[in-house]
Amino acid sequence: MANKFFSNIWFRCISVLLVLAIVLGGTLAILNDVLYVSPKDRTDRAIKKIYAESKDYSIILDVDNDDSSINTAIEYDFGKINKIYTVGDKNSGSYDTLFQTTGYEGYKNGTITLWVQVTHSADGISINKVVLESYDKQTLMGKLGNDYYSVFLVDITDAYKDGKSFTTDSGNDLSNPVSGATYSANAGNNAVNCVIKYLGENNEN
Amino acid sequence: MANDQVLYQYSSSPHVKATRTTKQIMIRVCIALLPAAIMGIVYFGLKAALIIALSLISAVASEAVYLLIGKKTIKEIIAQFDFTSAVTGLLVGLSIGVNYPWYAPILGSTFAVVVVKMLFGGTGKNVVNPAVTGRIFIFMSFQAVVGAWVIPNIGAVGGLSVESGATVLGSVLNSNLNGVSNLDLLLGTGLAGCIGETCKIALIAGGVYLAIEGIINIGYPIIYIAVTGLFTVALNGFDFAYFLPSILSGGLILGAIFMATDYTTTPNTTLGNVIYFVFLGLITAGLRQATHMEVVSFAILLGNLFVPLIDKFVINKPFGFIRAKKVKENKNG
Amino acid sequence: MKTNYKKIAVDGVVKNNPTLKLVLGTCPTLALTTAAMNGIYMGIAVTFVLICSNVLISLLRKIIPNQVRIPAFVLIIATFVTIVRLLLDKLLPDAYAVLGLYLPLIVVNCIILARAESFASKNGILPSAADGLFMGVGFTLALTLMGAVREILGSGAVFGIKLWSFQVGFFASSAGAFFTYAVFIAVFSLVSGVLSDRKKKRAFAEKSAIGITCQVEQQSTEVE
Repeated sequence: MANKFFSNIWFRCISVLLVLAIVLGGTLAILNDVLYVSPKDRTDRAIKKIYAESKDYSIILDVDNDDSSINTAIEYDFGKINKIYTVGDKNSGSYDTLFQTTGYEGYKNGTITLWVQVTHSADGISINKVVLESYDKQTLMGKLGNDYYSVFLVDITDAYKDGKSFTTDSGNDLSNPVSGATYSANAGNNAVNCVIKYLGENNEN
Repeated sequence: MANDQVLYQYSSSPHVKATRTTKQIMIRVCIALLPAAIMGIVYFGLKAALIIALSLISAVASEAVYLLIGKKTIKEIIAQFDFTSAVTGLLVGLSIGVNYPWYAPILGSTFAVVVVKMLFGGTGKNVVNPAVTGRIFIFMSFQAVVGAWVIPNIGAVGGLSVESGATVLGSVLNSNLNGVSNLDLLLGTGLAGCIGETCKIALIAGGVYLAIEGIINIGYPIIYIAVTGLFTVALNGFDFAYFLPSILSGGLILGAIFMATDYTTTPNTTLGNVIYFVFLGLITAGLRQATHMEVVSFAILLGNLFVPLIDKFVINKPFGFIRAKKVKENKNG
Repeated sequence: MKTNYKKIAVDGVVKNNPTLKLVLGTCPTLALTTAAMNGIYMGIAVTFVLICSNVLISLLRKIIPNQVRIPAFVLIIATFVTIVRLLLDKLLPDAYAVLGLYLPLIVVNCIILARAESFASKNGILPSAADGLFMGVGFTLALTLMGAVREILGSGAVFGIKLWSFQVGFFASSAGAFFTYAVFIAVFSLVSGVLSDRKKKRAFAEKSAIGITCQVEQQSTEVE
């Protein structure tokens, strides 16, 4: 009697759930492999985002790379640089450096990660394009619009020497506040300041 | 049909009413706001007058349009006009800065009157204070366009020098007390801020007028302001130098006298009111310290949402009620 | 038994619109209507999950015992949401970045569970697929319209194209989300009320042409 009851309802329930879980889980495992996006794909995507076409690049630093000589991020107090790529010929004097940097001190101590395209030329160094890659714990990203990112697109040749950096305080050259999203703006500013500091320290001119 | 049948008019309480109507009360509130409005125009120039006028007109007009859509005749609308929308319009106009675009007061007052008051049922049925919500709407919507506060000059009726500066509140919150003297704070000379809130003397005069007329209980705003000041002092290490600047800066006096004392959105009992205003004071001081922003309107909004709760728990003794004495029972075992 | 696909379609998009009539799945509605494009992305994801989960649940409806139907449904829905995530990351990375956290939240989106419970577990495969499709279309339409309104008013742009510089920041905020949602539900019920009134009046006119007595007239006005 108990056997019959057991094999009728609860046994069926549990077995159905188990079979479902196994089959579905197996399908997901297969699909995960099939639809895998490798870090190289992500970098190619980022480059497409900035240049609107694929370009050749050489890796100077890449935290997702397996080569241990180039996969340690460059850390500062206010952020870190995850990837540095050079696009174009460094020796020609006119080339681009692509940085992927993460700025700290965001809302709720979160971070913002940006791609910064820096153009080196005979006239100096300037930031050509800034694209958002990802963010962590920021809830007001909608407030960081084109106006915010366009402030970054300036000549930064002497920025590090003069001790200038992007800040949310008003009143100096590189001030970039966002009303109502000060912490998020701060994280974004810090991300770009990593670029300024790196270029200044490495005297790339 | 008997000749001696008298028709009794059946109604519920109150059966004895004062002769003063809502309309008369609201007219007096408008009059009480006039000194602040005039000083605002004196300080900030003709654009301030434009903003106040636009705000006032759009508040009244939006109520009229709403009623028209609700199929009332013009005659009915004029008959039931009780100046509450005029007060809302004036308050919204006075609580925005002078460098806001011209469409800001229009949209703000329309939102305040239509959404907060009319959609909920009209005068006396609003859940939160319409002027406060209108101010918050404008602040949320147009802050990006505006940027900084404007410092006025006396006699700027002719032209306005648009120098920007942090409001005194900003400096106080950053522990910088040496900016402005208390007398300047009181008179509002050379202070950046909203149109109506810089000249505190005018606001206090209006408040005193309302108290004399019996429209507001002057104790409540005093409680609110005092608690804010004391709590700010407490939060800053019990340094009493913070007391006067903290209560004289920002929109506290405007909010305490004219917005927090709105009839619909305050509790019904005396004890409830005391609790409410103390609560407002604590929130204002606390939020100011935490966010370094002007929070009076947000604090009043929060307080309004707590009023039904206060009303539920603070009940007046019904007329003739005698509390039964508790008899101690002898428990068995 | 022929299924009335037209009825399913009208139901899903208009009569029982999941966002504006059934008020299901309000969380993504409020959070993702900041831009019209977000509405389309979310709509694509939800429609895909709706169709797939409806079909699979309908296939298995005779096998899954009644007692464990909710865990079984959630297993199936979660699988398809994960598949959508993988697909979007590979094929539409913009959508994946925009949807962010709300993509895994589709698992607990009431629309999908409600349709699984009320339709897919009781009907055949093709009708369930159709129901999933049209419910998804209704959801997408509602979200895109709301997103467009909020984007135009709140950021002066639509589908990412900047129109003018007049912005009312209120509509881009969460308060504006609730407000816009409320206005949309009100307008929707007004319009559908007017339409259904017209339908009722037409039906009634036809009836009285056949000759119904005053008594029935009294009864039906009370009911209305």
